Amino acid sequence: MAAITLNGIRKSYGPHTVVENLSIDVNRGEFLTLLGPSGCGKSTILRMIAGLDSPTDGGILFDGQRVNDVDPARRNVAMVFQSYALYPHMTVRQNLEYPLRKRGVPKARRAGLVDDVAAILRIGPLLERRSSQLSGGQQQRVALGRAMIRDPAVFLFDEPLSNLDATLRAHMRAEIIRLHLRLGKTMVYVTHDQIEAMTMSTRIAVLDGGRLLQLGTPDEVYARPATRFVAGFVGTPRMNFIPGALVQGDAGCVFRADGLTLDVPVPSLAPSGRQVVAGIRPQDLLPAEGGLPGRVTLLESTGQEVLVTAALGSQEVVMRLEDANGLRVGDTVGLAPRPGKLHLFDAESGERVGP
Amino acid sequence: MPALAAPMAGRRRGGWSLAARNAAFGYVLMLPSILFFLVLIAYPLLQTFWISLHRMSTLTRQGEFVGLANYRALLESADFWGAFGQSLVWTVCCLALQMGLGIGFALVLNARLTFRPAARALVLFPYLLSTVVAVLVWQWLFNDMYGYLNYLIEEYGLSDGPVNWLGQSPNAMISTILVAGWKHFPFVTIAVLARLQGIPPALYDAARIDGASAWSRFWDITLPQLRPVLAMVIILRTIWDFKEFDLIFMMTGGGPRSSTETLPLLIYKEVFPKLSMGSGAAIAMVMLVIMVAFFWVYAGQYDREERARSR
Repeated sequence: MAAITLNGIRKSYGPHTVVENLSIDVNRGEFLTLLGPSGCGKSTILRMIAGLDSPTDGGILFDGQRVNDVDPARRNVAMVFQSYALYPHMTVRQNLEYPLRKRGVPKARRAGLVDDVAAILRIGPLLERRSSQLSGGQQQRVALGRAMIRDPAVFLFDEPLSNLDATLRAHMRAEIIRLHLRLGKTMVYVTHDQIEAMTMSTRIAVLDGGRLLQLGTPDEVYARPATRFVAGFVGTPRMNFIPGALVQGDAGCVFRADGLTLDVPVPSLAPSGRQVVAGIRPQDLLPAEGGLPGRVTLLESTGQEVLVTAALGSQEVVMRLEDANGLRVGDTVGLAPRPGKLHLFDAESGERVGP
Repeated sequence: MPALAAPMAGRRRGGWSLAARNAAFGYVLMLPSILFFLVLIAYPLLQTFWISLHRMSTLTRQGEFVGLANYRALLESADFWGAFGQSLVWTVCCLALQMGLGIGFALVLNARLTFRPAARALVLFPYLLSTVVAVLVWQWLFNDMYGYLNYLIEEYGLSDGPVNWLGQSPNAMISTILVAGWKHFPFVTIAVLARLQGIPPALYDAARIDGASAWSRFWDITLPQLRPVLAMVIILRTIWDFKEFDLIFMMTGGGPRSSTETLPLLIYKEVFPKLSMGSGAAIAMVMLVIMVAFFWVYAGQYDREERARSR
């Protein structure tokens, strides 16, 4: 187990900066997820922690020790790759043994460790198969096994589930969570899938364009997104955004947009006339008598819930209901945000406004 | 609702089933290849074998049937065994040199180099050069009177006198092997480089994290990944080196005193200067048998290993 400190990390390839002034403390035994769209620099960060890439600037510390110039093999990290990166010409057993062999672990001990790992991951029957003959899910298990077998201080995961189908992905997600509970090791996990980030992490670091936008627990990131980007990236279906302005109403500040007045009291500290974007999660938008008039344009039922798309002025918003309650396309429905669930972001900077 | 168009029930063209028609079409497509094979490979092969059973003059192409006499004479001829030995030395040394240089250059060119595109184009150069031009250039370099190599050797005092590169044994064989190595290694480089670029970089990342040194990574990842392409390259280069004629013929003509005379040169000597077409054909048949035997053993070995690995 180790604590990892990223201290003002910058990474550039020529004039192109991929990671900018990034500082994160990963606690011992924590499961930290780096979440962001492709190209946000998250994989580069992981590779720098592994030692496969070097930062242009800044320090990487393991338990307070600077490891910038330490070879990947000596950092005591294990990594699981998106492509699994199993050695295709070796059997599963040889793949699992490889990191042990390179560290001079004697043969008898190697066999014991392989059996232990194979038992945990239930890959015993596959040991003598060539890794190229395995299915995606089996390869994923072997890749996990190869990471576990040498009992590293840190586990690094680079989008390990993105090549699996939906059912298997959910299954392996649970498997990795159990692995974290069982081993209690520091784990850094890279993904663009917010469901993975929400379900697995102790904390999530949301990144975009090489910059850290928010670092917090899944609940914090979901309930109080720091920027409009984070708000839109985390949560399905996506948060509704309505551009408008904060103006002085009869009873304090109100949000007004393009012919609509969202007569919701917002914190009076928000300056009047400021251009903002209001964000409402689909489940926080409720049908209400006397609410904003929305015309239903689409109904999507998944059986357990109904997504109702409604035109609100020139905006389309999505509402998540348990039950359509007889709503039909073309109906007009009154919409109101759930009290206290309105998020406001600055129209220019995208930063959160208010508490 | 309009009625669905009735299927053309039971209407078989010419009474043939679909499968039979597809098969017939397949045979028609194969016909040109079969024809080419018969005319260009099978016929000359059988004819060569037929000629090898005759005592035949190259000029008249007339002669008597002598059965296996040409083969018997071969096995008793010192020339044949000499050429056989030289062919072996030639093929093995050329192959080793070409593989070594070829893989080495491929690894260098696969690295991130500033001048990689230019270097890749340049490395092909010897292979693209016509053999005549290459041989003329090298003969000039090797010339014992005014050659550039001897000039360098004297300039740096590496030897007491000029080296007789081509006029002395075993120098002539060594020099010719060097030229063949230089001329043909780019083929190996191109084939190996293509494969190297197909090896997923993540394998090397994984190996680095697993604690593999640069040497281990080459040995444990690169080489196993290259195996199939190396097997193919070895087969092709062995065949081509074994039957190399023009380069040796122009370089040394088989000399000095037959010391670079390989089997293809011996065939030429039998058929043209000696006008003995029958015995030339017999050597050609022996060469064919040797190549087929090599192919058999090597391909079988590779197959067995592959099957053992995939089990």
